[in-house]
Amino acid sequence: MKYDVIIAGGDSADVKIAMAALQAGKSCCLVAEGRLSGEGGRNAFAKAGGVLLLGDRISSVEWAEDGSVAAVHTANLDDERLVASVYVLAAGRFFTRGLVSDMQGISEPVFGTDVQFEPDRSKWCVEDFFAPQPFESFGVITDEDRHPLKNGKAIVNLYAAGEILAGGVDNIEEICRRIISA
Amino acid sequence: MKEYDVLIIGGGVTGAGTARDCALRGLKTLLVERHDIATGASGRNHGLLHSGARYAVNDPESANECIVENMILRKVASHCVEPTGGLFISLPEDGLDYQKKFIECCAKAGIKAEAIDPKEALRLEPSINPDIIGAVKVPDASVDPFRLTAANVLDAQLHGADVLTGWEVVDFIKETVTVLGVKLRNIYTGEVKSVLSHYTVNAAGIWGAGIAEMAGAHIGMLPAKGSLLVFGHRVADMVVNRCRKPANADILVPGDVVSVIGTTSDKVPFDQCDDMRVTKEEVELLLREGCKLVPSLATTRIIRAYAGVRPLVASDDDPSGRNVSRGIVLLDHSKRDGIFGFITITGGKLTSYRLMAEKTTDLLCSKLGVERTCQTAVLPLPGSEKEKRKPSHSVVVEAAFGRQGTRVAEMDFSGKGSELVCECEQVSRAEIAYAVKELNVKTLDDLRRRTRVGMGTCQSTFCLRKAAAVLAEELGTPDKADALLKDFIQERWKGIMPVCWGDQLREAEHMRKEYGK
Repeated sequence: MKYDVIIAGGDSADVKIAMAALQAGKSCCLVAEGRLSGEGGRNAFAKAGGVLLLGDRISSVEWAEDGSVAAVHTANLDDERLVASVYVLAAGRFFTRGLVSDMQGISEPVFGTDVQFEPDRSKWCVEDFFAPQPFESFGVITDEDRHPLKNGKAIVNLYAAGEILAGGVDNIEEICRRIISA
Repeated sequence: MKEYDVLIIGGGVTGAGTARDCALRGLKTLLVERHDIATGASGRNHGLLHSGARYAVNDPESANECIVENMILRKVASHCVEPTGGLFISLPEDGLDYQKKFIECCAKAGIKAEAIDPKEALRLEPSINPDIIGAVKVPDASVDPFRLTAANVLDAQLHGADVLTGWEVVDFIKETVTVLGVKLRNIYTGEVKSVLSHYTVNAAGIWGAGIAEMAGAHIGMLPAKGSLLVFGHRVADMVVNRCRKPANADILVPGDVVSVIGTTSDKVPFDQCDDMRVTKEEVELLLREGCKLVPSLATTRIIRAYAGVRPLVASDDDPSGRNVSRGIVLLDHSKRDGIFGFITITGGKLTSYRLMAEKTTDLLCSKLGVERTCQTAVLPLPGSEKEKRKPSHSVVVEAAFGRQGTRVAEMDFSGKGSELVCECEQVSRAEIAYAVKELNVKTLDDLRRRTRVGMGTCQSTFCLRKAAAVLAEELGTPDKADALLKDFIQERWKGIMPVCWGDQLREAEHMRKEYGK
């Protein structure tokens, strides 16, 4: 299947980007495991003609020679090649598994993009529960145009949006604009 | 005018047990605790009712005390004890030499220790390391130290004792060489008052060194920190020990819905005892060693880390504090230091708290000229009375029975009473109302120690708002719900921080999203 936009969702604002794509006349597929994804806006997205793969996740990625994304597969549609002009990584942080961690460090499991985090695990949290926690600013590293880096090189047809972005920047509106003009 | 016969400092299990014993023998008793019951080492251990097997080789006297007390507590504190049984397993690197000596020493100490085939051990407890070369079955059990302490406090009160929590001893009232009482300060309001008593008992655990100092006596105590990890599942149904010379992380204890591995043992300075932190290195050590006992710990979520300080009385210069005797130390300061009216009870362990209380109360009775014998070895704690009871069809009633025993009869499950508040531990509004009414609850953390609210796998993430609202309502201060919630979550956070990776980091992020803003 071919779409204009495929979103690796999970972030509570993923559906905002999906709706913006639809409203700009683009076809869009949103893949999300559920949980926080969409927060109520999912039905509106499906009604407006969006393709919602809920309870699913991107399980593998085909890479083009230039390092861009060629196609993705999901856990439930493993033999289907899902192709798009633009891909968006809006999978949220740890709770929605946009980022995964173990005792050694933190990684982004879908595209394997570069992640910024504090190497000393004992500094991931601070004493005051009500203060911003360092782990909340860990995330995917991008270039100026919000293309995530993989081994230091930008993935030109992928954008990172929402909480998964390093530094805790809210760039949802910006990504919506970039997708509309793409 | 002396208000009390006995004033006991310290609301740990020893102080609570002593208060109960004194009250049962008709002494006019006051128990004073700085924070809440079981906030020190009493609430910061494995929750293991030792069979004594662990001490059999190095400390036969303690081992025998343990097995005797173990058998007593199964009867008189049945609602606090889960008779899980225990295993001592030998791994290939441990060899079987220690096991042979171990079984002999257990027999000498009166502990039933039965060597079983490794295959049989794996059948009894499938979670243990399949590489084991030997296993010994012992009568270890799991005990809820909070419940045990609360039941002792409750029975002391039912027999006329007064209990003050949230009152700190700031000074002793002395007349030359005699202790006449103490000056107390309320930690919440700052109010100060004096209480006079014929005898003052120092049962303040590691803080007892400071209390003794304040009274003019010196006790050489050795604060030995022990760190533990709580896993989010009941990975084993039996207590699992390593059959070797006691070392780090060689005991896994199942407790209610979770499991606890520990401990470490490191000497710490006194000024750290009030704020124990588990380090990254301790977490890694506990996990690494724990996985050798039960391999599935490697893939089980760790929900919490905590540490307690053993109140060991220094007898030699062993830096780890592990080879110090765990024996009971009862000090009559009139004989030892020429200070009259003052007694210290320390050392010992959770399993032997009742015996410590008995010895202390015997001494007090002989000094006060009271001839009443100890009944705590036969008289069940409130909740553990043998009563014919028809099980209820209600899950929350049965959960409350599991925790509070026969005291469940004091709870009102009608109307809103049967509302479920904490789902992990199945705590109802009725049980919370009972705890507020009968068990000296002021904060959510106090409530947690009485009912296990917020101690389950979600560590309160799902129920906290409701629990705070219900507690505030039951306390008659509905506007305090937010303050109760904030204090509680900050305290929980302290234990989550050291284990914040993997699924627990997911849970932590969830917690922050729910309550952090």
